[in-house]
Amino acid sequence: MTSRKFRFPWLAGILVISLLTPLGGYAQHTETDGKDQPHKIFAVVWRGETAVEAGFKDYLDQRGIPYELTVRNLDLDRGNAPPIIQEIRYAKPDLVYTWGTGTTLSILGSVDTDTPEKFIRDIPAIFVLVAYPQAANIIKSYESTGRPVSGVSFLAPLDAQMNVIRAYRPFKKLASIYDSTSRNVRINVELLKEAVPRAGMEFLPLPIPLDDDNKSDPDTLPELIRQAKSEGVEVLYIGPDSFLARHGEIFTKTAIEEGLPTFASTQFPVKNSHSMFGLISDYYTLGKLAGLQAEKILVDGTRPRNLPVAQLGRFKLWINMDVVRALGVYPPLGMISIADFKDSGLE
Amino acid sequence: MDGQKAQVEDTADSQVPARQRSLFLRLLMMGGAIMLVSQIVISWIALKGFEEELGPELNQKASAVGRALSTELTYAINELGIPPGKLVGVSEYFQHILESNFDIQYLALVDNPSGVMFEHSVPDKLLDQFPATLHESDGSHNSHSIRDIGGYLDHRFPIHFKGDSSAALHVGVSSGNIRQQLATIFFEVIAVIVVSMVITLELLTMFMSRRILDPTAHLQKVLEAGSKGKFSYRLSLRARNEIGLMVSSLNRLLYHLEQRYQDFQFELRELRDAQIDPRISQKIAALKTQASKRYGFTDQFSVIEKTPALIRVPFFLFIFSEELSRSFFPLFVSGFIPVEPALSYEMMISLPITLFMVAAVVATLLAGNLTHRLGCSRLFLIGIGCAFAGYCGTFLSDNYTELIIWRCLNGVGYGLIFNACETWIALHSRAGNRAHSASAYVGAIFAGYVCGPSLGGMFADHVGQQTIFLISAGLSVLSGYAAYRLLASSSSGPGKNAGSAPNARVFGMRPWAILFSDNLFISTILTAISTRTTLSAFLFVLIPLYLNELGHSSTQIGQMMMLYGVIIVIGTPATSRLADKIGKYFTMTVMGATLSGLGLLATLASDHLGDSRAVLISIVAVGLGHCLILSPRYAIMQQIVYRYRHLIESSVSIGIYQFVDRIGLIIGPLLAAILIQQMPYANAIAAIGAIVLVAITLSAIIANVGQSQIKGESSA
Repeated sequence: MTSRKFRFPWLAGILVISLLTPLGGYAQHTETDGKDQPHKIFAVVWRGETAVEAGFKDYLDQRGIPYELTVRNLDLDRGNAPPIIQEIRYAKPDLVYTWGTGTTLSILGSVDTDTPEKFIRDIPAIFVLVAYPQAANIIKSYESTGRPVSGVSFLAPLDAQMNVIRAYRPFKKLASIYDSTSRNVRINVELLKEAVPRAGMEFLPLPIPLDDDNKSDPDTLPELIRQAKSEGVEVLYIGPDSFLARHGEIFTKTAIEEGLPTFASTQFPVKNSHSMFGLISDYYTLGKLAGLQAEKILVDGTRPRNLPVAQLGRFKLWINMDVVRALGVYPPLGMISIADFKDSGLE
Repeated sequence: MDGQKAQVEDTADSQVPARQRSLFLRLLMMGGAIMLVSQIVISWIALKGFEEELGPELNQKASAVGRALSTELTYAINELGIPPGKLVGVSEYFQHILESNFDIQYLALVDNPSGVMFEHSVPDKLLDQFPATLHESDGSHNSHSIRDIGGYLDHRFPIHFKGDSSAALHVGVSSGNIRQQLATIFFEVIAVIVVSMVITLELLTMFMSRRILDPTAHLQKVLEAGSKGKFSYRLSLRARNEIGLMVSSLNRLLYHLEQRYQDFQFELRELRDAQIDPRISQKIAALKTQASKRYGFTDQFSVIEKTPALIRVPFFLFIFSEELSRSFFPLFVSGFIPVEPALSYEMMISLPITLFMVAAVVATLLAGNLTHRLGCSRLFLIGIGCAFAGYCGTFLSDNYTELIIWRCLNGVGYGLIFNACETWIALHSRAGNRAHSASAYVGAIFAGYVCGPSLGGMFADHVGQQTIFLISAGLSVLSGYAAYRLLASSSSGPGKNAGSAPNARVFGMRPWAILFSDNLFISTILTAISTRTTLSAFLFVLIPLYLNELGHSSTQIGQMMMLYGVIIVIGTPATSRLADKIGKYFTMTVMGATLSGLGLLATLASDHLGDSRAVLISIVAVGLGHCLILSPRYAIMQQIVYRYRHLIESSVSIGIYQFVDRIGLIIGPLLAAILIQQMPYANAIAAIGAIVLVAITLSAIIANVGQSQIKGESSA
């Protein structure tokens, strides 16, 4: 691969230029077979590269698809989007890749935005890690997106999540402590209001109070957990909530102190903090699925508008055994052979 | 001369086949016996083999399940650090494993100090024995061991808690279960033997009739006619077998005989013309006339006539294809019922069966005219076409509406084929052998009842219910092919004798008025409808649903349903002889209906008899009851037809009877649906029994009133 790099000095040039960009972005280059022009892919991520991008790149490499990937990071701030949009317009990539609901809305805008000129509207795009693309108004429907955008959906169906929670223990009351400033999370809570009672549990939604900057205040988390406990809640739910992902450590540790198990619907809280269990899609596999979507657009020539949003058929039941032992809430025998048991590093 | 010819035909019909039949019967019995013995021997050897293999096989399975489960338990306890006492959902997990491994009886986790910690389905008598066996475990303490406790083979797997094996997992296999599985295999073998015997005998009968019996009967007819000086017959048969050679020799003989006769006539004419003396000339002319009167050489070739029995094999194959799905059809339908059904669940189950019957009855009514135009064989093939499309459609159906549409098309095929068969029998039978001809048709139906449900149920358990319709489609093609080969190019069909086809003109109101003013007809119709209702409600709908609820597989349901067919096939000839002997037709139908009605009440005594045994008793009683009804009812109808022969054409009377009779088939599934909405299956079956008893009481009262009226009229 390195020998090929030297055969194409202009690629090295691009690499240098991108490294010098103010947002610390960088471009990556991968195989080109010399005959095909590499497909130019422009990726915008929310909080640095994750396993999704690794899976994405590995898929394209394994399929022998020549590509040239530029990655930019929003660094948790949607305010960083406009210069990146300018850069994308200038670079004219073949495909734009966006990570997360916030990133996707900042780069691609909603399906019926009043200011389309502020967003990338005419370049094929795929999104990953968007929990509710339709409810977030990114696409019209999962089958036909209504714009040159497609993607992969990553959440396990809510009913399946509830089934896992109930199969673990017949919990009676579930609470969701959530960041009410995130549209994605609000959609999730609305859906939970129906899904939780359907599974035979009582639902308690607890929005995190806002600080002076109108942002959710992480300091209130321990108090909210104690409040949930006092109201008879038996299990806490963490949805696709970036705020809770960031403050997962304090959140899950307080929950353990209060003797409350937490369930997570995304991998970050179970892998990087101390959620007791979760039904999650594997980010790496998800990235590979995004790679397949990209292949359909770039190689097969499918119009993204006609490319249904893809979904994983299998999800991973993740159980952090150190948390389980700390709480003394052991999994039923039936889950032993189907779950992935890990330790979250709880001291 | 016509009178003579008729006489020849009658004698040929009444005497020759009887002699041939005895030879044929002996051959059939001998062939059947040899086949039966060989099948029994092979099956016995196979069963022996199963018996030897099954025990070790089950033990191996118990070992595999036990090993996997003990690994999981060890992992949970030692690797995940879950204290044994804190294990959760163990009994539920055991239950889940037992549900998917029905040949394992129980699972238990036993701890040395605390005894049985978790268990599922462990018989009470064993619960106390587990801790004891744990202490005894001496040498086998650390490894998998098997013991026989209380009729169970108990597999014990030690579970090590951090190196100490104080607990054990017990996996139990019942030796009774092994016997039960052997019994299941045994019944499957019996069912296969019966079905293969029926199919073999059907095919053997067809080949014997077509290749030997019919040609020899015709040969006999020719020889009989020859002995009376009539040499007008020739046989048209092309076959490279002994019969074929004999026929061509005979034809050659007849040809030379005719040549010589013509030479003789020519010489006589020459001789007469050469005479001068008119007296001698007249004498020779008289001699010539006398010779032509004594020896007939006028007609040319006559084709071997088609017989009623020819339709038996194609018809049997069709009924076979239709009956394949009988044992599971209501269960099959239940898989198509949408989440929010338009009608009640029970109605949705019975609707496809009811609409099938409606389509069949309507097709039968409309087929009357078609038969006249197209002929039996073409109508049969159209029916097969509809049935084939129906089966394929049912196989491909993925929603309730599609299923209904395709089943209705099947129903149309069913109706057309029934009509084609009835017409064929009516056209090809003569006054003397009408009852015998009808038996070919009835026999085919019941042979289908024997083979279809049992084989269909067995296949359904192995290849899936929907695939059975593909097999049915294949069988229907075979049936169509057989019909094409055997029935096609028939000189009969349209035109000739068509007036005697059943269902011809059943639309006029007058025959209906006449028949329904006859109490005997009404009471016979009542019995017939109640019989048909029992058949379609009990056998077609309730048995599959109820036996399925009791946990029987499609194979077992099919075997139980086969019993009905077997009883009818064996019993009907005996009861028809009995009926002819004692002549009390009506009494027999009343007895039969009462027996079937009482038999259905057996399900009320399920607590004493056991659920499945009660159903079995009902099936046997209904079978026996219907045996008693079938032949006498035919005789009674003959009487009624004869009584009104001057007012109504016999085919019209029979057509009306058959139409009303089939209404019972439509009522049955609807009645079953209404009943099971209100009550459990067992009670619904009993309720049908009660309805049959009421109907038969009514029927008896009406018949008695009728008789006293007739007596009153005659005394007045």
